[in-house]
Amino acid sequence: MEALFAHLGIGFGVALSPINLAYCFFGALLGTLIGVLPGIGPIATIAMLLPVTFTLPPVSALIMLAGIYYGAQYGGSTTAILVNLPGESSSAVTTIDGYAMARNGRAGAALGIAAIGSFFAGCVGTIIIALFAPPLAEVALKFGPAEYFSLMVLGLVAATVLAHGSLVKAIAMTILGLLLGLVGTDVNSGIARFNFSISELSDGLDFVGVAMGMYGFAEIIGNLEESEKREVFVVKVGRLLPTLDDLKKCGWTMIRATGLGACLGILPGGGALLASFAAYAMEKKIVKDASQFGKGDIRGVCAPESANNAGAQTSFIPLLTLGIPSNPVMALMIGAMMIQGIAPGPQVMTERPELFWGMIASMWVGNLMLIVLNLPLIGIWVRLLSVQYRLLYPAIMVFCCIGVYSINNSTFDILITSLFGLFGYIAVKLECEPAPLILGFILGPMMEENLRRAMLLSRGDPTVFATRPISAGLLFVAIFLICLMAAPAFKKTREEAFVE
Amino acid sequence: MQIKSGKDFWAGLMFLAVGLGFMGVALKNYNMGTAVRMGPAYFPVMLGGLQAFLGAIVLFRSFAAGDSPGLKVFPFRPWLIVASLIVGYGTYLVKTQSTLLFDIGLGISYILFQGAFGGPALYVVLAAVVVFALILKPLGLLISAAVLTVVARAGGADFRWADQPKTITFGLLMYGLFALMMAAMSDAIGKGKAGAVSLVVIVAVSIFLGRKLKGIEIGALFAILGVFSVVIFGHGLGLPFNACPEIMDEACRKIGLGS
Repeated sequence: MEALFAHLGIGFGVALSPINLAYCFFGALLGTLIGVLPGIGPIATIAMLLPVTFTLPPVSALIMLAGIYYGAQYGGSTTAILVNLPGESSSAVTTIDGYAMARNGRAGAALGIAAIGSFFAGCVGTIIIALFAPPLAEVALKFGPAEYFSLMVLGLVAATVLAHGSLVKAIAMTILGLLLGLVGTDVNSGIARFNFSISELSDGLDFVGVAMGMYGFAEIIGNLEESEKREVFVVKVGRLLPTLDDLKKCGWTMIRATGLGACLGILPGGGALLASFAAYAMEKKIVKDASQFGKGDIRGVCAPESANNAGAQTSFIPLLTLGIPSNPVMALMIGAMMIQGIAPGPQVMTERPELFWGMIASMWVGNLMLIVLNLPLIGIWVRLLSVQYRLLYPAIMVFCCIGVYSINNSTFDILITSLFGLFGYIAVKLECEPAPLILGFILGPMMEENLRRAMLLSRGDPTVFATRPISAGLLFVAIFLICLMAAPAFKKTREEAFVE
Repeated sequence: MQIKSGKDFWAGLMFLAVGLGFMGVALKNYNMGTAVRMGPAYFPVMLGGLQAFLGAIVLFRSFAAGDSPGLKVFPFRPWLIVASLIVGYGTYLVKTQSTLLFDIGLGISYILFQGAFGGPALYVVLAAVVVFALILKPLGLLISAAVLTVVARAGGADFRWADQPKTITFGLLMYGLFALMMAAMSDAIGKGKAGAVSLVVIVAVSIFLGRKLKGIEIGALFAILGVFSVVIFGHGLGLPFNACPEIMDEACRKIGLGS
């Protein structure tokens, strides 16, 4: 316990320095902004800002990028409640009860409870990271290549289980990601693989370009194909603070949703999006009087908003302790760390304590800033919504292209982004989820490396994955998940869960 | 045999082809090695095989069940892919002779390929990106940002061709104003401050006039985006790209435009 306080002391020392406070504020502000604006998400924003972080010290860079992610969870609810459009995909469920509340003239209370729930969840999430990350990192330090390989298999399997739609297609997308990740120079032999004699490909496909194409551009194209229908609910927002009665009603909801969100955030493939859907569905089942759900029940706003923020926080745990991303945003964070010359993994905590604890402390500070930022400034955010998409998307495209270009000063990377924009569009049309591909892409080289090392150490004996206890356990869970998925009863519940 | 799910049919075919492709390339060109010392082909062949297997399952299933019968899932024009390949091959032949021809050929081939899929929102927007990538270095950021904005807007709704001469002229006038302001100020107060002042002026004028006058919205937009990018990304963050076309680079540097 004492060690924890000492660590948090270091962390707050770093996070409260004026320069880091400024970057934390900037990240949270920007996150809220993109959260409010529909049609641009944290993935595209972080990818756009990666080149900006070149010039920053590592701690400040990561503090800012983290702020964008959890800031977006706050901002997303504003749009969901006032416009009936998810500003952020993780706020999609909030639209159901949030918009209904706004129509009943209780927009203020809905915005208030969303902010309070998010803040509560953010605080709990931060504490969970501080408590659980160190022991987990200790365990991870003992991991050998076999364990890492099995862990990645489990991570990828979990990501496919949590994806929408067909399991086989999700697995195939993961493998496609792994294969694309192998393009470029093979570290062991020095041979450039799958580069088709194009010299730009010998460093591999640029991750930011792939992510930006599949998320940023494909999303813009999708938005343009649907005709734009957006009416801002500019009726008086009303009293911002929920009544005491509302708070009482939401107390347990907030705690339950935070707990569920925190658990789902840690899972690979989880994070904010899944957490919000699951929390809403759970709340609807648990509460005694669920008749008002869908018609403006305040708990229907509180549950997903608490859960998505908790999930956003705890999804940092696998990144910080194992060096493995649990969702595409975390994969970009790995990219940011690598740009700064930090190899993500359990050693970060011991070798760079100021980085690790500074980032955790900044999350709490950022959450505090967000609640201050959001409630009084709600008027400004609402006015931002009147910015037309036809003005917004060319701006997004210009910044995306400049962002991709400046990572390697390569116009070739922009061409790659365009190609993956096309592929992202096709994938959506064929109902193949992009998230597993992105995770596979970032894990591909790491997985091959660990497989090679494990097989070298075991002298070519593949049973090593089953005889080492931790590795066997991880693989067992992965196989169990796949079997569970194939079971008809579970398949049905999964489909139902995603329909909601 | 009838296709019950066109989505699964194409997805399965894609996975099968990609899996076999990776396997084939790896087997042909790289060394397999042994399980103890894996060569560069080992992992890709394993994955490619698995991918092809899964693709076959998805393909097979598309005949069994599904809710999107037929092959038509989204607009697809295969003849454009053929055209793209022909242009691409021609470009490959002139590769060593002229970089300009090569870039133009590459761009056309790329745009034709993307044009084979989807509606105008898809291929116009992506073509804008391809053009941006190809002209960024020779023509500089200001012009590239303008082209990207105008072409991308052409892919969206309510784009009026008749407005274009007017709106593009307006945007270019704003660029001219920017250059004049930089020339007047950068010696006196330094590049950074001159950029910041010019940015504020350009943004204010563009927003004001863009609202007042009809049909110059796109020009106002690209003026703001171009100047913002040059000032913030170029001057502020020191990202290396030229603001002006290569041939004018010298002159631009004199007035503080360039990083």
